[in-house]
Amino acid sequence: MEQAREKRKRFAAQVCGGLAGPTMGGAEPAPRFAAVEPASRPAARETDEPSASARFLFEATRRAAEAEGLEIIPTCCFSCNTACEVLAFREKATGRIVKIEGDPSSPVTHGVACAKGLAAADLLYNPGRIKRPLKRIEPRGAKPAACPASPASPTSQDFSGEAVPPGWKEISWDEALEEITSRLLKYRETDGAKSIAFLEGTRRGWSRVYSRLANAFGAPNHGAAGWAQCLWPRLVDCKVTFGGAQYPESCDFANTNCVIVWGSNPAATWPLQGAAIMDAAERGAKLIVIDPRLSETAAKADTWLRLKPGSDTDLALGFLHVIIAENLYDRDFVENWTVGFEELRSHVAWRTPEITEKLTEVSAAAIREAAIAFAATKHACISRCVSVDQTADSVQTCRALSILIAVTGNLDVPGGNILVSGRGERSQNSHEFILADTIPLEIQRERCGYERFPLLCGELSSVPSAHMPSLWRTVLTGDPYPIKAALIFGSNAAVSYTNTNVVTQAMEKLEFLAVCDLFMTPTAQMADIVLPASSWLERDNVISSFQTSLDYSVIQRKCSEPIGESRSDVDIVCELARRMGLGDLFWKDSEALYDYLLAPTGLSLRQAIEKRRLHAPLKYGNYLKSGFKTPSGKVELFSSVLASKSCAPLPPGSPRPKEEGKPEAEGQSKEAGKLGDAEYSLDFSTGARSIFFRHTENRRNPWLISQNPHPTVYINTETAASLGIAEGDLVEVQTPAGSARLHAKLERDLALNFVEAVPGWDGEGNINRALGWERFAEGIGTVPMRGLKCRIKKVSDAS
Amino acid sequence: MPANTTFAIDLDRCWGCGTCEVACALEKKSGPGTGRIKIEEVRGKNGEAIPGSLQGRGFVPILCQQCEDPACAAACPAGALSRDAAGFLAFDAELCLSCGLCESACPYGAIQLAADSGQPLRCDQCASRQSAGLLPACVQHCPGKALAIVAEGKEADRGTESGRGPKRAWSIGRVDYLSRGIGLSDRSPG
Repeated sequence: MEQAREKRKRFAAQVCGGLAGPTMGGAEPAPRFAAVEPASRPAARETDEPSASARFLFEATRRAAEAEGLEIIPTCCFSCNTACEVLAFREKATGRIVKIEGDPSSPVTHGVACAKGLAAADLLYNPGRIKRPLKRIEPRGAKPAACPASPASPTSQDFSGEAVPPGWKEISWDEALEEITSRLLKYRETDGAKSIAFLEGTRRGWSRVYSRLANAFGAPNHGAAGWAQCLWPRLVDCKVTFGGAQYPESCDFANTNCVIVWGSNPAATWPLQGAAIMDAAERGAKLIVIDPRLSETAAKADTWLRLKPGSDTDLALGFLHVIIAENLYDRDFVENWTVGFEELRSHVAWRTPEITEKLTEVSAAAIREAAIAFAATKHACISRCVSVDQTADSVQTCRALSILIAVTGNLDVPGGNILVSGRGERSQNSHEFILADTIPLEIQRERCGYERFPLLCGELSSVPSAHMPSLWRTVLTGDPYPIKAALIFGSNAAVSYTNTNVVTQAMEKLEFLAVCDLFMTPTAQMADIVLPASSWLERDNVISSFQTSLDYSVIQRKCSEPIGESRSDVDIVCELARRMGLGDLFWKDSEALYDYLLAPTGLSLRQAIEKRRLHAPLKYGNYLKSGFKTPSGKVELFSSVLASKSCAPLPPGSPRPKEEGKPEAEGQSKEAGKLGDAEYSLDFSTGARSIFFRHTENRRNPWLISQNPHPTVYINTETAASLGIAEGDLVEVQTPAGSARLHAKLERDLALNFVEAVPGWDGEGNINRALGWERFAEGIGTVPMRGLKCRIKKVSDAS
Repeated sequence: MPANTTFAIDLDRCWGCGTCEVACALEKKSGPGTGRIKIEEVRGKNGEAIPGSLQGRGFVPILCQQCEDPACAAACPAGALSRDAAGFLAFDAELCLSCGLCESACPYGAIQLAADSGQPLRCDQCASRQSAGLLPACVQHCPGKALAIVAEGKEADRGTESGRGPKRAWSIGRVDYLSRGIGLSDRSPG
């Protein structure tokens, strides 16, 4: 095996040498050269109808499937939020899904699909799937014994076959839902709805109906592991800067001449977007990637800016200084459509490239060059994703990028950042849909974190929700009131929250915990009742998201009967609502919900499934008609809304870790508390991702785990050498809050003294164990995951 | 399989995501980790540009090159591996002795032995898919659209709409590696 690997490495070098120069690598068989002329390829830009060749490939696929006794079910994947259109191949004789492929007739994907989607049939047949509702029979805290370990990690419990996990018994749906309902109603009666936490995780396509349940129930403490760390900061930015229109979240890659990818790595996290960016680059658009690691996306860049982790806002403000100083801003747009430009000008006046270099470790020349390229190229766009939500000043980082887009006149123009509107269907992402105003204001004020984090807990938030670290502390301390029960849908809370040790302690303290999931996750193992949810292959859905497409909504179609007695989350939520006496606010089932959402389009779910997708052409210049729904009616460079919430109206700049006050977390051990900050001298982020996983998902999938069997931490090669760490070594990452053990991957091109971990693993590889709650982003309470400090040790030296 | 095709790999478009590896293992139903195409990462010395990456981090998918004079076939004592009329490597499982000499002989590490049978797992460019009019599994699913099957003599089909000038190809068999030849100007030969 190793020998074959060595041979491949040698050959790869030979290929590169051969392509780089005629006399290089020529010792082996004589290479055959051909100059290849550029030619056209189907543009990445979506067209309304599949091309003739796409239809031909689809028909060929159907015929080949028929010949093997298979039928094709067109649907869309939900292994991530992109929701790529795929084909599920169902064996006619057995109803079994035997494989999943990309849909070559899709005008959105043109047939591609990533490994997560291709390997997703395992979601159906993985022996770990929970098949019936389960009730705990052993006391909480007692871990079930003798369960086979999953390949992911020795601490992860897995259960195979039909066996009921030890310590649990199977119960009927009726019994499970009745117990949940009666317990929650009782807590509401005795301790108030605030004593029950309604928690969820990454959207499986249903989450807003769950928010609706929380609000209809009257529970102010609704929330998710992500939100303040994922998308909400961007959306708060959109709200205060553009009046709610999400201009910065989508890019017109098909027409752009310059792309800045700010901190994200779509090659690994959003392949369809990565491909669109690469299409633009191949067409000749300039590609600038900002990342402390030479990511797969950065590898394709014309310009790679290796910034100091967490200094994003400083870099963006430095760009603004150059653009204003060089008079490269769009004067017309600034004068007609923005407020606060003069404040901005003086705000960034001192931020010369030379000063910005000191703050960001990007050279002054590179800052100047990139800023000028971005501002002088018509038109240009900034592609941003979760990385800008996870800085220590999350909303302000997002704001700085929005200001860059606006002052350069790249808003809603061909090639710029553009507004994606719906296709006529009702949106679930509205306060109206989630019944946000149902909860009386005096109850909302009791929401954990309400006073300190208005951008998360109040009306500016997409889903007004609790600040989760504050909530978990309240669970632990009972201060200012007891939180006794939690309902968790689709969240592996015991793994996915930062400060894992504190969160799991809090979860153990709950009197009652019910969890709905596909697998017996570490979270489900802590529950009293576990409900079996179905996967995306077992249900329908209407998916309208800027993450899917600029101009399509796609329809997911049920491909398989539910595994065991598992049910769709939407059906479970609707049934729970009925039992709680809230049935009139909900739907009979998921199909009724989707019929309701689709009603304005004139289609039923069944009709939409046949049609497969809804289309609306992209429109530019939306604001010319509608303006901006901000107090001033313009783009607020200087935000009056933030000022009214006692937040900085202009981005102050990246907070420095050392400027922070005394840690306020209780997650520190006494020993760790004694150690000076100086010992934690390495820069640290948890920003890296693997294409084979989404968050905590997929570690049980043998096709994917075999590609990436261990938790990874990237370490600068020189830094590693100085600590005696070699490639693949198990390394302990330590912070005052805790520690985690991951396998070293050495990176020559990583920022110096930088350590970047991949999150999402359970057990000792879970990097969230090393993330404390020392500081939160102003107004929204983001737990920073960029620009942290740590120290590392090889495990043999660690303890 | 059509006799006049080449498997083209555009290094400018490969970002090493590994989708091809998983697509192959699933298509061939040979178990996790058995993809017949594997990606190797290449770094430019001191960060200098290499084909596929101005920043010096490239990815090279490696699979059976369909060599004109295949070392694996020469090494096979049973005649189980041979070149067919169309010029592709053919395999006769009936003749295979599971001796593993083909794996050792392949200079490119493109043959892996099946854990159960000990027989060679090697890329046949999804011959059965292609004869049904489909693209190989890796080609269809590659998110970066780095892989293509092209008719020989129709190099134009391999290119991408590019404002960055022509690409060149390099090959030792019937797999062409393409790149804009990043680094051509600033690298001295040898």
